[in-house]
Amino acid sequence: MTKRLFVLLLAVSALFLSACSLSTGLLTTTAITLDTTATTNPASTTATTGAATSTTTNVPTTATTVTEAEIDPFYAALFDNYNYHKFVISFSRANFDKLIYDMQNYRDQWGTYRDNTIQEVDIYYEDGDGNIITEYEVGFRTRGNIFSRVLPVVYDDEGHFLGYQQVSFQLEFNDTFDYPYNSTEYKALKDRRMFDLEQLNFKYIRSNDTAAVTEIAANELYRAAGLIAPETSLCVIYFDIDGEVIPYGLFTVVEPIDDVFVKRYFGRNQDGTIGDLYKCVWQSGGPATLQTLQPSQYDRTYPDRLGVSDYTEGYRMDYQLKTNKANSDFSAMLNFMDVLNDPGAINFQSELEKVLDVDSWLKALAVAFLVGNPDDYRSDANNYYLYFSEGNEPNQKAVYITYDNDQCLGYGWNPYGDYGLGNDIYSMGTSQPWNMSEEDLPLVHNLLAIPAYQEIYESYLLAFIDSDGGIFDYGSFEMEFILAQYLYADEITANGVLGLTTLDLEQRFMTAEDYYAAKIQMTRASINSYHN
Amino acid sequence: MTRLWLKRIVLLTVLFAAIGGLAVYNQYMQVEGYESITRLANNRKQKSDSNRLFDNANFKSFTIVFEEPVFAELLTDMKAYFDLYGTYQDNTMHKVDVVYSDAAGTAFTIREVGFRTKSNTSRNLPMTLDWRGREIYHQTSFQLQFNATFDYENNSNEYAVLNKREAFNLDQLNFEYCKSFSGELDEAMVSEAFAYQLYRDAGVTISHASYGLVYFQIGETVVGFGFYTFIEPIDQNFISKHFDSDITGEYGDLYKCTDVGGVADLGPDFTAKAGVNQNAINLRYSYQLKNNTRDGSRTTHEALATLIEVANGDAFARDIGDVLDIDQFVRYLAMGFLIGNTDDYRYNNNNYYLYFSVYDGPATMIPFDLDSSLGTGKHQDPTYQYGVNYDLFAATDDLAVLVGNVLALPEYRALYLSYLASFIFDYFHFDRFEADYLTAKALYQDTLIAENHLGNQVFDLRNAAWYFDTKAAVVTAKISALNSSE
Repeated sequence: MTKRLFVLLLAVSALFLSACSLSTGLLTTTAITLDTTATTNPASTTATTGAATSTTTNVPTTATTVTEAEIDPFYAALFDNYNYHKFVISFSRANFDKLIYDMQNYRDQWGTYRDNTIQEVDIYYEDGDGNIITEYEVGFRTRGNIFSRVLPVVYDDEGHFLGYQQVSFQLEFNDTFDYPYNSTEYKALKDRRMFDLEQLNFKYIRSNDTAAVTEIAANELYRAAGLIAPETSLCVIYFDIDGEVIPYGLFTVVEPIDDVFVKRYFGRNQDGTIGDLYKCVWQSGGPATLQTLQPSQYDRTYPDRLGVSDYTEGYRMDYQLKTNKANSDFSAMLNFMDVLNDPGAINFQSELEKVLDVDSWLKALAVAFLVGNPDDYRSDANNYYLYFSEGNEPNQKAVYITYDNDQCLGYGWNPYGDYGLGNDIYSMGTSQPWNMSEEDLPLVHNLLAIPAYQEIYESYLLAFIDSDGGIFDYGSFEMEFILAQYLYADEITANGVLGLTTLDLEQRFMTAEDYYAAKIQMTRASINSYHN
Repeated sequence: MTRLWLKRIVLLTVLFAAIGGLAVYNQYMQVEGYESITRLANNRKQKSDSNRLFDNANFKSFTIVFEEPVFAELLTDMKAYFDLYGTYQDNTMHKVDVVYSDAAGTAFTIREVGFRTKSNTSRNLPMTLDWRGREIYHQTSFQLQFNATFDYENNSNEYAVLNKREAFNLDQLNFEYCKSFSGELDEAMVSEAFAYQLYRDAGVTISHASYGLVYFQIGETVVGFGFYTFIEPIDQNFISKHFDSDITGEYGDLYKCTDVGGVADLGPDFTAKAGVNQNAINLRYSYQLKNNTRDGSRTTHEALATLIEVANGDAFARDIGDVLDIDQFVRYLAMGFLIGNTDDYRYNNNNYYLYFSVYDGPATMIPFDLDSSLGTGKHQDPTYQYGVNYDLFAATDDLAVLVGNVLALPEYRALYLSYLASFIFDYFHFDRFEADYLTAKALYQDTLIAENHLGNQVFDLRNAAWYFDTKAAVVTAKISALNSSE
């Protein structure tokens, strides 16, 4: 707590001084000095707990199974936004070239760069708490969808190298590469964790989002509402390719939603297993609307919409099973869809409540409306996870988990024309009306047709925008930004840094402050319109 | 008479000549920095050394000194075995020197000691090269054999000395590191040694165990290999300390019972599972005869067969007392239930020795490998509660025929319940565990961190208090419930 107050005071002071100096034409720097004297672990490939110096804890507000005492200090330090983070990813030249080659080869074969071949890298991490971790032989692959996944290098039309560019990526700490099963290397790597995680995602920040903290603020809103959402923070990345250091720029660190995540937040079932986790995204089969599927669409051998993705064969499911891949019969998800798409059933509401955590979904729906992400379930049936956590098959309750909120809160793709500010709380349409209508989204359409659920949904909206303690408060966004600016501004504005090089709340097309204010006002008006 | 004296003089002359020759030989063989192996065998007070080794309050360290070619050969042999069999269980003995020191001021070097890696799942190559060709060291369990004779001719002086050599009053000593199971580690570090202590408290015949630091010195490179538990092996030396021989100095059969060749469930289909291991060809038996292996009459495994026949037979109640030391077994069951090792005979048909008193007398069950105990380690408990809520007579021991049949008899049930109650009252206390934990933490943690040892460096009590308190409370409540219902 003391450290947080200290950092906050420094950050606010720095911002104030910065504003003063700008107004008088002076430039004041706010460089942060890192303690690089912390215990290091250079000789080992496995991070030990011996070097922990962090004393901060960052307890997720929605944790159902993790107590403060159980939170790994490195995990807490990584997702502490009051803390500076830096990663150096070290490639050999041969491995970096192979990364490019594999991605190009995949594109030649399947038309996109979404190759997930893992390359070996070494990792160096340091943070403002003085923690330093070195890990050898970590798995690296690029991330992103059809349009967002690019090569980390740029070539001209004739194939001449022009430079480097940012691409989102993933580190896999437990990748075993080609080591034989049960070999020493295999065993050492298979159980390896870093930050108490098996993997970690890094998303580049689009260079015109000068507020930088959009995704962090959005995820914080979900958590502040008592929902489960991935932890996020900022970091600076450097690539080191056999000694050539590339300042790769500012990234958002995002906690992956995987088996580790569900154990962390949901615990295990009574029999020691975990439930089915689905990543639901708009892939070649179409948007993940949750409408009922035909049996051929989830056939175990030749599925085309629901099942286990195989990137090596170039296909990805719209409903990708992420846990229990070998033995799930998909019954939890299929049963959920069946119930959800039968609103005419006499006992629809009671049946629905057996297969869906309705309260958390209505809460998520309220947060999502305020956040205004045009690429989520309600807008275009994309970018969410469903976890089936409780009860006996097939009546396991689905829990909705948000992800990929980098375009929202008045920034990014703007299909509604006003960043969704004018959207009606019930009838907001979709962001791709030529592809789907509201009636195609049963998780919204069929639920919000029920008056009792409307009442809960509206109560959450009103609570979140309440001027007295409501979580949808620009102050929290601004605070995240002040911290980001204090911790990273000097480093990313240096010469040659890739990606975002300006941190400025005012340079966005729509400022976050304006978005919050207008959204609160127009949401309240929309609610009132149903009660006048 | 004269002839007799002459004979005595000749014999004495030969004896002194032999002693003198040996001394000259040793002096001649002693090169710089190298001590004679004979000196190492004879000039220690082994009982005192043993007491210090197994004193948990005494800081201890072992440095295993490899010549570089020997270390390279160790790696080569293990890799070759892995290529052949998909496991590193090569038991080729490699020659090392061992430096022992402790806080009591003991410090000595033992030359020409046998070193091999040991165990199954915890057996690792001690060093690998990573993708950039860097040397990465890995903890591995291993064994030191103080009586290894290597390739010395069996009529040589070296053979004669080494073959009978002991250190710490032991022929061998086992070293186990704190393994992680599914990413979960025993951060309390002392759990396995404390579990051994609890069994000893309960009157179960079992190994001594303690812990300390291990270093590997390879050429001039010294690597901190971390915190290890030192465990007395169950071998002929162990048997001779705990059991009587017959008038000819012979001991009964000793079997190591594990799941390497199918479950060691003491079921009637045992014959194909019993034998003498041939490690060189990766032939391993679930009932591995460990001694008397050159006695051809033992290949019928009569003592084992008799026990198994009774264990599975109709006359169990009548005969079991003749073939099994029941009191020891019930003590093992009671303390084992409290310790909660779910990888033992009761819950997994694994990890025990059977010693048959000379030659067909009652068998004693001796547990070993206790690294999944006291709320840590691999789970058999599907509720992930480390067995704290297991029933006293649970269906979970269905497979363990000896457990089911013994606890089906009222006399032994009562004995089991009385042992449970008394062990909880007398021994099974968290504060005892905590005291050992705090002592070990004070002795070793700073060094582990400062020297950046492999493995866990920071001690943590994890869920130990919860485990002890909950287990004791649940068992006590179940006993009370049973008593009130009777």
